[in-house]
Amino acid sequence: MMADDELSPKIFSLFTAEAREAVQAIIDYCLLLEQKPDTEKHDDLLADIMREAHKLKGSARSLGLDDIAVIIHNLESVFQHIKSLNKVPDSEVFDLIYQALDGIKNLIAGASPIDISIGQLLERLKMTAADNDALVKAAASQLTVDDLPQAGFNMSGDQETIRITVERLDIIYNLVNELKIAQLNMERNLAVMRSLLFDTKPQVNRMNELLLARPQFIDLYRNSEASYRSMNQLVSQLHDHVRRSRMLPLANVFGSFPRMARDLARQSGKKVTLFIEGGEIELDRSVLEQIKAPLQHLLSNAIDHGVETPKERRAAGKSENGNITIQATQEGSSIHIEIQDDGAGIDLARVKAHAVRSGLLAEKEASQLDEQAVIWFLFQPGFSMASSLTTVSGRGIGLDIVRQSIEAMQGEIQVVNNPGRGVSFLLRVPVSLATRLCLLVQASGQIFALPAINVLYMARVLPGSVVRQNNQLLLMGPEAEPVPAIILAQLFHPEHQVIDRKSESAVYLGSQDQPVVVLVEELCDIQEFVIKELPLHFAQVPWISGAAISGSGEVILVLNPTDLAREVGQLQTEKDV
Amino acid sequence: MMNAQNLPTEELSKEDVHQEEQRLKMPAAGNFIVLAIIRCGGFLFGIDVKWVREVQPYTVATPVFGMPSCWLGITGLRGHLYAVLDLGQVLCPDLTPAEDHQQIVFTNVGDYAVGLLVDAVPHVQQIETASISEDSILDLAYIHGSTPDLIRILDLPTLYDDLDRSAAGRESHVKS
Repeated sequence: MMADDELSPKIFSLFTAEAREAVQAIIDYCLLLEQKPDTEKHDDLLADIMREAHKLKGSARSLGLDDIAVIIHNLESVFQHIKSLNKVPDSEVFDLIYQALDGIKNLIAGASPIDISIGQLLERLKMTAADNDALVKAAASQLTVDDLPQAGFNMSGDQETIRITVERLDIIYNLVNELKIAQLNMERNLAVMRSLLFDTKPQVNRMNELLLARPQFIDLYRNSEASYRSMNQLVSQLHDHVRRSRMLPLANVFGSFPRMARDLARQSGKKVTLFIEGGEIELDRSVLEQIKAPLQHLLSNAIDHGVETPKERRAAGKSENGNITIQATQEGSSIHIEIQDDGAGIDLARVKAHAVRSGLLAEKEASQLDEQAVIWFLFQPGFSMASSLTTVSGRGIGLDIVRQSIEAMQGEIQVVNNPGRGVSFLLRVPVSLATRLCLLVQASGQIFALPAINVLYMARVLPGSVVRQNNQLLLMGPEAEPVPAIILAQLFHPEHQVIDRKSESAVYLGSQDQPVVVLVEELCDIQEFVIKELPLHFAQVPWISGAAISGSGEVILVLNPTDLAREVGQLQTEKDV
Repeated sequence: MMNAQNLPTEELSKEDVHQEEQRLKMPAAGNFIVLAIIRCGGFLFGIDVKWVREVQPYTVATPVFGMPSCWLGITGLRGHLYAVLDLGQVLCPDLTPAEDHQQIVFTNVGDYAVGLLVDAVPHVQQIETASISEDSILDLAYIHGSTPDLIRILDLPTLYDDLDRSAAGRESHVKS
């Protein structure tokens, strides 16, 4: 591949972003075309595809990226041919189209060594365009990932880019200008105050001078207060706009799922319809990046191990076509994403048996575990049910990684299992990781922060409502059942004896169904913080997920709510067993 | 070009190997090394200034439970978090630490961000690397060598690596 070495990396970077979007758009249109072959919009879809392809070809040519241009040119011929036939081709042809588009993606990413099989790819595209059905199908079926074109140049660049509307950039620019004016006002006020206070006459006259200057001071104070209020407001607005400029819609992640679902379903001989809702909800770029892999994993699991084969579904009295729904909703500063399938559900007996076989669970304990405790095994590192991968209910592959990724964002994951009717994975993640609303609590005299997203509610602890049963602390609250509890101060200083009487407030964590309580001495405040990773030497400290620097410069440790909830849960399980 | 035939055939003694290792570990800036001189437990130590970000008077760090007592906690410096290490407790645990006028030397070594609590940071000094010799008086770990005026040069990367390893081991023990 020849590319002009003199071209600025910025131009390549822009092309990369545009090319990725164009390829994704073509894939989306092709999926629609494939899924709805009888649609009246057949011609419109092909026109859209041709338009995107033509634009991309032009951009690639203008940058001397000939391999990309040639592939697209041949793809255009295929699409022309499809149009002239006035019918939608078989899935094998779409496989070839998708593989060619994947090849373009590889060239854009520039991630692989120079080993281009473009010749073979072009040959197959040309055969497809020539409508030689037998040859096309044979060629398409032989095409493997290794055959795909790979990098001839590196356009990925070192700089990550984000698109921002000119309108938003203008707003930010205007806010910064106003902020600058407010800052200058403050500076002027300070200069006058400094002059009044220090540039006066000898010490003896200072008090008189100051008394005389009192009206001026009052004016200055009022001016400063107004400037401060203005700056405060501007900083908040600026912060909000900068934060929003980092936001991207979930559709950026969801966009690749229809194609992924289509390919996986074809590979596993299943029929799957994917429904996606909430793609318009915006998340911070960093959350979006971190959530992509877990969602892909859960979708892949739902197809591989959740939805049954058409034969199994018929036998179970279901329609041959399995349904998977991904639904996102926003609730305050958190996003809820549900991945639901209508497959066979998790076979708890198999999970228990596997846990016993793996030595993670004693046989007599297995019968006493509740559903959630059994499901939790699936999220344990190394708990792999690989041997039963092909069975309907064999889940667990890589779920530990899903859990780790979600918890790393201070998110939560829950599983609702409906045997015979499917499984729902419910994820809760914050909208942004940049700043987090935190509840400040006090334990053993130290202030800690708890991410507000994880707090269900708070309550005052009534005298005598904390009891100890079988070495397990319970809070007898308004709930029907006593709630397992832990005293935060005691967790950090286990050498201390029972100090229940000091714990005056209760923070409820976990899920509504199974809450746990963390008892603290005081609820102090709710503040927004930038949460940072702990210094490397403290990275392994249990129950702490990071630290924040308060406005006064004090470092506040941020508790890990998931770890805390699990700690209480483990005590409860140990007690039960 | 060096090949197998012209490689030296003499066997190196353990002492030679040790000296070579010390030489390779020595941070060299030409023939000189610039050291931030710190006083700790009555001794003078030198830290290569390339590791030093800033020196500040000591303010109380936020304690982190469960860590060895040499770790005083976490403190912030211009939006960055630093683990605060009582250097005296690591290098001279038997000596009584000075109580007043202590300072923190904020250091960045690779991914490690550590604030070293020391008694004082009197000055910065340029030392000729050739003048650095093995310390014959103090047999302390994490010391490259010593200057003629008995400034011991600290091997911060090794010190931080060792502390990290011991912290990781301790945590895995705690969690198990």
